[in-house]
Amino acid sequence: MEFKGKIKNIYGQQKILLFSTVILFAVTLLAVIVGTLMYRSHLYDLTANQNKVRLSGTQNTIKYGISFGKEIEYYYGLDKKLEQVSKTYEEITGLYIAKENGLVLYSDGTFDYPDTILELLPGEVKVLENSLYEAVEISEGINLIIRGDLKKAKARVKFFFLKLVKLAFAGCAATFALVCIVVWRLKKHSRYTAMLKGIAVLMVLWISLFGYFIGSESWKEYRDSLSVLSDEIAGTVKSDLETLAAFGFSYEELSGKDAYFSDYSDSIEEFSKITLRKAEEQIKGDMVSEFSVAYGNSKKAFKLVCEINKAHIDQMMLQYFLNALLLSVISLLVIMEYRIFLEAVYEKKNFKIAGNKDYLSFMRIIVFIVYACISIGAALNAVVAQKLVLDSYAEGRDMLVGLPTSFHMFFSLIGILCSGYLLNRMKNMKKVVKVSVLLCFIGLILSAFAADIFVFALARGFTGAGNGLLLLSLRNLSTFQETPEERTSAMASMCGGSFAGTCFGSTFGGILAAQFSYRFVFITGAVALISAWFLLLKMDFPVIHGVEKTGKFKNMILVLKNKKAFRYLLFLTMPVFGCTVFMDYVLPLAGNGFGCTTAVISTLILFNSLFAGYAAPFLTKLALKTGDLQKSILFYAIGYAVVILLFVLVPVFWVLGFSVLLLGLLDGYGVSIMSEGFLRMKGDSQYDDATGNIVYTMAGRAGMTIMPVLMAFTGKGLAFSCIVMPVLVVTGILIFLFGNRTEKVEKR
Amino acid sequence: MRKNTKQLYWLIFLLAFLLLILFCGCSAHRRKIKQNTETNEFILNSSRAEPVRIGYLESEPYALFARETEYAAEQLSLNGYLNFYEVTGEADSSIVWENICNLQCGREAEFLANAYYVFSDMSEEERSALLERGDIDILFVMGTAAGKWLSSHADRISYDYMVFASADPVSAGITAGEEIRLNDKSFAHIDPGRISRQIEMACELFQFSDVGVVYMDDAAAYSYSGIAQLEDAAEKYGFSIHKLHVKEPLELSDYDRYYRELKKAYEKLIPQIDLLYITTGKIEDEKLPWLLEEVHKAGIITVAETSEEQVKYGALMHVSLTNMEEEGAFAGITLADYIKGTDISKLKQVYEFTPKLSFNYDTIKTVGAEVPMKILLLADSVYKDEKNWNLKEK
Repeated sequence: MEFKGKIKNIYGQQKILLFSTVILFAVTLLAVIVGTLMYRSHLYDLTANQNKVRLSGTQNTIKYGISFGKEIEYYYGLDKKLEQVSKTYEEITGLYIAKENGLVLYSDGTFDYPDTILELLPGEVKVLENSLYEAVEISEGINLIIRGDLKKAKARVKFFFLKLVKLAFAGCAATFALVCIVVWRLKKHSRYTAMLKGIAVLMVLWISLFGYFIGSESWKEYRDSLSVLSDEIAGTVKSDLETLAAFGFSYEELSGKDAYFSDYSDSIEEFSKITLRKAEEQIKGDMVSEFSVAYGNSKKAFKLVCEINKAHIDQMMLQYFLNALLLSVISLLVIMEYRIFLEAVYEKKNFKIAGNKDYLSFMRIIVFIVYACISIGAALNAVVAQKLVLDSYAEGRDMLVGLPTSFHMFFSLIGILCSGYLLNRMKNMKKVVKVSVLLCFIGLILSAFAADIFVFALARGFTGAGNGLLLLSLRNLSTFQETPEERTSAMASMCGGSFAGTCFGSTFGGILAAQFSYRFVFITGAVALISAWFLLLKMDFPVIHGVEKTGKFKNMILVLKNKKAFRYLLFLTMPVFGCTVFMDYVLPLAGNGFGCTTAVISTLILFNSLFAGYAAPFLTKLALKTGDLQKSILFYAIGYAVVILLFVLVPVFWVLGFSVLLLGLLDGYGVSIMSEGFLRMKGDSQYDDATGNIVYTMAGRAGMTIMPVLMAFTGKGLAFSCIVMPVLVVTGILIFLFGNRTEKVEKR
Repeated sequence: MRKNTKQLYWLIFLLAFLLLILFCGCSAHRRKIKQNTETNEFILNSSRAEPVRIGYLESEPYALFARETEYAAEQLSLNGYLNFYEVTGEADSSIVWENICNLQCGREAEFLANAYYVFSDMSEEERSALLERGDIDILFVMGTAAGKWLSSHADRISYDYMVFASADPVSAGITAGEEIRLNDKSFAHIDPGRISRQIEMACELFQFSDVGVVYMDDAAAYSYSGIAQLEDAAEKYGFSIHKLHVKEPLELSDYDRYYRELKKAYEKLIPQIDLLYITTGKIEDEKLPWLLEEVHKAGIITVAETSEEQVKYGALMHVSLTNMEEEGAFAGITLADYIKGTDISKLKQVYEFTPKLSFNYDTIKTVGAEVPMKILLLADSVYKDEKNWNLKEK
């Protein structure tokens, strides 16, 4: 190996302060953006609900018009009706009756609507320019699309944003002052590591406080919005009672009040029940709006009581908590990566690590970025696949939903297979990493623009190929280090970077997906990936003169010729690794089916990763200490089967969450134990461990490729299709054990 | 040189990537176009070489025919076959037709000023001349009598005809059914649900098991009283029908007898029924309060078949049978489709009106009926105060 040059020494006191300031502002800006988005999202929800309440009467009239079998296409005069209603409310800027994925049948006279509103499903809301479009179902496949004005909401968002910016500015200034004090005080005593830790602690403290403030402010606004909504309903009820009063009906004379009010509570999740009470009644808690209606010469006062839907509010609260938590976690991850980066550089500067290996600390940042970008769609890939399939095919094409996952795994397998060849041909690790980054970039861009399940699968294939290539490149990067200590250190650094990147990417992607379209999420990932490319351009990599043996086809055949290893790969590795698609494929789809937001799915992925990451060293040691490796492996495999079976038998949300966490714990020790188990299968065979590792990884990917296809074959719904996983694992274990026993008998 | 090759590779790669993105975008666009085309199937775009020459025929001078023709003209102006037409409420159809002829624009349609006819005012010679006219492509017909006459002489005409404003064109012999035509030149608007809507709404609102109905015992009255639909509804919703027959008056002097017998029949039904379906159109509305007095006192719900006016005079509810504004719009759209090139036999004859609901507040109170709040809010009119007959309209 030879090195082309050095990275400049940029780690002076001023530079650290500059870096800290940049990171501090970046993380604070992220918090401001996420906080504003959270606030904006709830304001938009409120606007949508208000418009729904305003249009409830119109909705009922149109529904009644077609209730006797009249076809909506022949509802002449509906244009005029819509125009009349639209003129009544200044907040409504357009009303359309449209066929889902078809065309606009009637409008209020405004025709400047975007075609994308035709894709709206009942209950869906879309924000385009200064308008909020929302679809309300009239009959199957026919929606009333309401266009609401967002100017007022946007003004409130702007006000909130400025409030956050002011606070962020003050907070950042205070934190920066404290950072300066820490740098100045500890630099004096030459306590460099303590200084970096101190900076990190200050940053984490600030961001946690700021996150708490954003969460509590947004929550307060949300609670206030319920009262606004209650007033809006009261306004509509008042108008209806006045109409009936004009007809001659007093409130007492009216019948069917419960059905009337349940129309509101059914369409607004926040309220479980709405009732109208006498003004004299004392009501505590809940939302109360007062109004009076004129009956002849007298007036009668009422109290509209909106009972809060506790389950929904609890869910919302959980959402706020999760958002604040995720915000803190991703900020924490960024700060930690930053600290590790500076520490590593510091260690190098003080000659604690021999040789010229600056590229390793740079590489960790690159790995962090690339893995963050690849994982940005972790919580939504399967959901996007499902959407694309549903958009194109009515039903019966469940098999296609798993196609992108299979493609991803299959091409990652190809990537792994090609990595050795590419490294040998290019003679430069940097070029290989560049190719992998490029493939991921293409994959993300294609994912964003894919309008077809097949294009999306192809996109996932590109990402998979990039992922596979990078995986092996990182492994090679560590194996090329000169001493075992360096190898361990490099491997740990790369693993740490990829782990932190995966956590960050999946979480951040989940937060983004809750606010923006999936296309935006993928484009964000692609744009962020460009920074990795520029970092790659700035750094120097070792030139490799040849990769001996590793990854060569002949050597791989040697691995497969080892019967024991082959059995292990076919009957244990493939089924068990196949089960890991539970996280990539089953969790997002099932979570979506249970009505979870992407933020919740991301949180589950995050905790699964954290459990796996932090429990790994302890559990692995424990498993190895207990002695029998085969028993540990079997425990891991059976554990996987049992946990998945639990979800098959009780397919409810809390079981899904529990299963995800248990799988995280199992992965904590199982992955390394399985790998160790495979190494021990080598026996007298002549292949090298690196090639064995490649074949082992490829077998795992093959299992992941096949599993979604096999699951789709059951054709009995997602939860039931998971039965394939435990069945295959248990069958594989039995065959593996039977094979071992037969071999022993033959030897005797 | 090597650098140049490298740049060329990059360029090729970028172009290939852009093409791929373009392909993705195009595939999405293609699918959207396909979807839109599928939903737009009913809109035909084939234009005729010559303008479609249009004439007008109505059964007799009737304000509603004129009004409906105005709404058709408004729709035609929206479709671009007329300059802007403003509905004025003109009761004379000859003025309406003149206005239409003056406002015509474009080359696709020609509204013939010399092809305006009122059937009841025409002599036999004039009728024969109309049948033999060869310079008309389509005759726009309003009313049952004119439609029936034209249908019976369809073999003598060279043009197509469209009949609107006919209460029951099937039993009138204007058309054979929803899908079947009497001949390949005819079109007639059919609203098959006009009676069943009333019964279905009553079933949705009130709990009843026995329905009373009084009508003249002949085939025509059986048809226009909607007894066949009532029998279908009875089977569907599981109620019984109690029928009584009263001979309808043929002259003014016979009305006293008719009202006496009708009131007696209603009173005879009282012990057996919980809903009365007021079917006949021969009742003068002013007589209704007197006719229904005992029925309402007995707490029986009354549903008027014929018109909203009957609700104004005491019937509890009515669901409208027709709506001239809507039928006018339907007529305009159908004629526009014909002008565009759709064959007359391919035009959809069935069009159901949007039902309009009306209630009588006093009767609701007298009978003690409970009409749900949601339904009351859907009502187009609620009549109140027996003395003043004030209409409280939304």
